[in-house]
Amino acid sequence: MMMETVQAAEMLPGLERIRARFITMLVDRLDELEQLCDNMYEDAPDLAALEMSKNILHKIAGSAGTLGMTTLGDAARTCENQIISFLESSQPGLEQIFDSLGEFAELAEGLVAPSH
Amino acid sequence: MRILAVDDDPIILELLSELLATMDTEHDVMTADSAIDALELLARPETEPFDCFLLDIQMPGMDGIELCRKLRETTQYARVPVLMITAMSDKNYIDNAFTAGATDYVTKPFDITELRFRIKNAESRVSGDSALTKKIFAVQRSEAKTGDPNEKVSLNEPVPIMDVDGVIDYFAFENYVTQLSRGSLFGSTVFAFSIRRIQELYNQSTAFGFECLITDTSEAISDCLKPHQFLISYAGNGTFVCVVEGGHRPDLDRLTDQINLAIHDMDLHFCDGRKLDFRLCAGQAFRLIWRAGRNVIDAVLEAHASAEEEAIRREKMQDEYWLSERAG
Repeated sequence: MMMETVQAAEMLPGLERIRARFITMLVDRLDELEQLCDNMYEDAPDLAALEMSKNILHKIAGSAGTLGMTTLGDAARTCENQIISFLESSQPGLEQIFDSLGEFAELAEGLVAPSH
Repeated sequence: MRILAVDDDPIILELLSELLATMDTEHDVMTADSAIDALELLARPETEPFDCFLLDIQMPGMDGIELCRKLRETTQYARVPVLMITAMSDKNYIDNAFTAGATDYVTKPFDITELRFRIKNAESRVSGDSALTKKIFAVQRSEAKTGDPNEKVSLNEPVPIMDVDGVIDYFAFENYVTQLSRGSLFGSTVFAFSIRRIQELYNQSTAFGFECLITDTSEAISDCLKPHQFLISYAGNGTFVCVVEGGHRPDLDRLTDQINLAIHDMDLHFCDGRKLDFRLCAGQAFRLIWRAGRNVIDAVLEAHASAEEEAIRREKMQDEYWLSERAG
């Protein structure tokens, strides 16, 4: 993750400040994602919560890569795409979506942890 | 340039502001976090006009495509550069954005060098410096210079065409085809139609009449290309460049006949009441497959040139036929 950030930071002088804000927001966004998925089970998908989760992941995916956090951005994009697919065709199952969300959350935790 | 960036993600807005602040040219950047906020800002009497827009496609409520459409409906922003920001790999979003009037697009996550290039490209369009845009913006420059709506656009300049399905301006068309990925190019074909004896028609038309002729022709082409996925652009000199996707192989002879019939059925007339009778011809079709060492634009130019050559060849043949008939 560090290797990814160095190259992007060189290109924009204010990127460190924006990255710090992104990390702060990531804490809130992770909390929000957890709350949205809190009461959802494989046999009882909450479509509205999934739609909101998709929007949060979409934002993370859009900005993380530009800020040099490509792996996190890709993980968010994977979750977003799986939710889109689920909302359209119920595939893949919620189990797989939760697995991907878990991987994404672990990556995000790794970024958030040093300052929190 | 005065730029309005619209995105519901504050991080993206901050990134864009930061990026634009580091460019060689100074930009005055304002931001809005939704399409509705942007429209409210634009409606305020004290808001100074913008030269360029950066619009996120996927926003809750009104999305960027709808906002772009609304901007294009206004006289003030009918022609300003609109760059769409998209995280969508789905090409349909991008196609819809161009159809709604976008001039270019950038994808998230941003490649900063690419984004700078795109902004500079838009800036060139605004200032009229770019070789690509000169011919298009000569239209606006001449209007601004004289303020005379009756002044005719030069024959080789693209006439802006509004409200015809699938018709976008030439600047946007070039941006579109040059940005298509190798995967998206797969299955795309470019070809062009030229109006025969365009110089004569141009000489005989008023400014308004010529614009109607071009718009009506583009409508006929658009109607005949349905239901395929396509984009059309008027490149000037009576030539329309078209790209069709999805592996569709156009039967150009049949298509030309259909278009000519559609134009005939429109029963067009010059402004002075004389019957307006003209025909189109097609050039060669070129697949837009990725070609090592060659630009996609080369294929567009080849398609364009082949249609114009065909128009000249057909008229020459017809002239020679009449001459030989008369001699006989």
